[in-house]
Amino acid sequence: MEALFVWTLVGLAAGLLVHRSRSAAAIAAAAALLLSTAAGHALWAARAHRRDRSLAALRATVPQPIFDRGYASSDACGACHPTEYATWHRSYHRTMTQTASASTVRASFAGETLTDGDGKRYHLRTSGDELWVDISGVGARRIGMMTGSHHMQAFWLPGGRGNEEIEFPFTYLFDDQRWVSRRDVFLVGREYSKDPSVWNRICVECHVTGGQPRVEPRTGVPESRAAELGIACEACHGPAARHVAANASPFRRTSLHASGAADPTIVNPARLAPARASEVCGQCHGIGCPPDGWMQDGIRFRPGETLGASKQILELASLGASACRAQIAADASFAPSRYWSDGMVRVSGREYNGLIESPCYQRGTMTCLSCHSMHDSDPNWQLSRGSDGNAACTQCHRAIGDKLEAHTHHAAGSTGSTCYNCHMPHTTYGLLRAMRSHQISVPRVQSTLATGRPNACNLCHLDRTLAWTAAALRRWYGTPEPRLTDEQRTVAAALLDGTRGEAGVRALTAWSLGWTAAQAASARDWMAPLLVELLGDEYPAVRYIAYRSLRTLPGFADFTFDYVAPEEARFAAQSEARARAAKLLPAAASRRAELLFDGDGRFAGGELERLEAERRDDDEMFLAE
Amino acid sequence: MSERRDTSAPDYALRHVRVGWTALFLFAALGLALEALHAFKAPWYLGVAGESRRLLFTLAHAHGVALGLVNLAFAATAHLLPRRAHPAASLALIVATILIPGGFFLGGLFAHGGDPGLGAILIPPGALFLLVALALLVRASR
Repeated sequence: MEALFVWTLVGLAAGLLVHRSRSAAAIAAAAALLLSTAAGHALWAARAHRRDRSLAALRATVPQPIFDRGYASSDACGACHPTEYATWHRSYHRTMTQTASASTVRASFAGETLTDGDGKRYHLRTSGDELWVDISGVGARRIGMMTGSHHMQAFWLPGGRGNEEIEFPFTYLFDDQRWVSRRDVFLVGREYSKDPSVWNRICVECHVTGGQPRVEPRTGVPESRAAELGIACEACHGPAARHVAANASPFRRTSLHASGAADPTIVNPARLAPARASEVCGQCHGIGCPPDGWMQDGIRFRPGETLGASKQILELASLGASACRAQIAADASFAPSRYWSDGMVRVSGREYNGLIESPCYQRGTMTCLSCHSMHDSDPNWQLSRGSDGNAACTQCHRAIGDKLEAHTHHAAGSTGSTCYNCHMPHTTYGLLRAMRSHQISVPRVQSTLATGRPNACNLCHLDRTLAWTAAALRRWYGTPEPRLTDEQRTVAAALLDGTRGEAGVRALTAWSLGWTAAQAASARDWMAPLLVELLGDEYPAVRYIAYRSLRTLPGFADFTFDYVAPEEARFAAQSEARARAAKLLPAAASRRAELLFDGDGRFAGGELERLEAERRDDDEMFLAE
Repeated sequence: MSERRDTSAPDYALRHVRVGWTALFLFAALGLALEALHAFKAPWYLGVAGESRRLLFTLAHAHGVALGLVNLAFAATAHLLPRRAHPAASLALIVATILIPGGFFLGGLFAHGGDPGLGAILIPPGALFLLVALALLVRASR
């Protein structure tokens, strides 16, 4: 049909040329017009054929968007809400899941060859807009989908059954501009088994909009689908087909604009009651127990509904009573890989759990939207304008804001007077870094003793002991001082956490040692020996974080260390770092006994090694971020 | 120049008056249709996937109307031009009036995502015909 229209126009033009003027020039012009059209048509058809063939091949293996169940797609939203569409479009929610293409990939596909632990080689390349990997002993495979575009990017290969997508064993780190083993981007012990993930069984729940795994119960073959790949408008506003159809009428739109009333055909989380509003985020940012049958139909929750009716949020205290109790009981690592022992969430991406455990939510009206915004924020942390400082808290806690120094005992404007630093410390782990806890809490040494979780004070005052913190909290707030061991009284908390803590604690400590606020509060000149020791940690994630923090210290900006290099190379680099650290003499103020300096001002490296050798908590672990 | 004026100018003028008003009518009507698509929020036109279609239809509307006016200008000034300028310039201008807005319109009608449809291949030859017509008219008016 398209070609018929085009050739009709061309025929009309050529006919005019020949009919009106029978000159040689007109005939030549008509011939040239016909020839150029024929050539253009041939090129266009060849390109269209290549594009259609590529799309058809991708469609056969990758879950496709299907607009049923009332979904309309973000395309339809963008037509009337261009600003909201644009702010969403630049967010990392949109690019959480994408079909793989050379034009949108952020990772490098410049002919790299990667080798996995079994010696299998993976050669990366592009072909037109397609991403391909040549796998030794297997052959060429086209990459189907990509996950993430913020800190790292993961990839998925067709599994060959339905539209099953299997985890590609390497991930690209943007900061480092390098590929690493998928395993090496998680905090996971060496002995911990981790099979390749199947996208259709895990990611489809939250990394798309309206995802349905549609795993055939008998064969296990998935024919997954989603309303849209990535987390799009309808994930938060609900299916919009009815809204789009209703608002095709200009009279209805005008009437709604004039009245300012809510449109009952769509959900606006900002207009929901606090609990309902937070559940919109909680459907994905919470540790959940998917209901029976979700492997076929997906999660039935729609924004504005009660989340618990479709997907139970799992809190540590109620795990045993949950519908998932049998599955949890069979997995001894379920709770430790997600919660601190007092129930506080310890992994990123599960902020809703933290929120609902917070007094500001339980006794106030705090929601995710109190601090975050999709449409009026920087894409990095999506903090709404003005919420990156104390205003986020003082919008309710005005009295504290008015007498800030009396409450914080730190200078106003200092990091010690920043509400977040004390009440939302970096005790959550994910994406190879520490993140803020979203459970609003009060610093307590008792919590550290009970759970091993570093307290907010010592995450900034890394050079101080637990006893120092306990004394300050008693003096300022009347918090009773707990009973402490000799080491807890005499050795800086960061040194104890970095040597004796479990892997998750070591990761948090290593990150804090590179945190600007902590370096300003604690001085940096004593940190190198501890970070150098952490370069030798058995957990790649801890080594990675320690190296990044070490690079921020004077004398180490040019130091190179590959956290996944063979052991010998890592040991050699660590020795070099140790030698560099030995040459750096800290200021007298840092040569204190709690930082392991002896009476002569010399660093007692042997003491650090002793603490590490006597590590009490060396269990294998995995953090399910 | 007056002694070389074309005695057949009224024929050409009439032809371009017809083409000009027809183009103006068609592409003004297209403009009205596009406004209606906006008013009723037609997803096919206003959706993000329809961005190329929207641009191409707008260009078809703008070029169609502009070329209609150019045809009317040609008709109004034909009597001032020498006879030898008329046949080729007239023909080239009419062909351009068919190909340029027609190419934009068909390119938009069959747009595939960000790519225009096959009709877009009519635009470059149309532009060439327009340039030829204008060059002939510039030369003739000196």
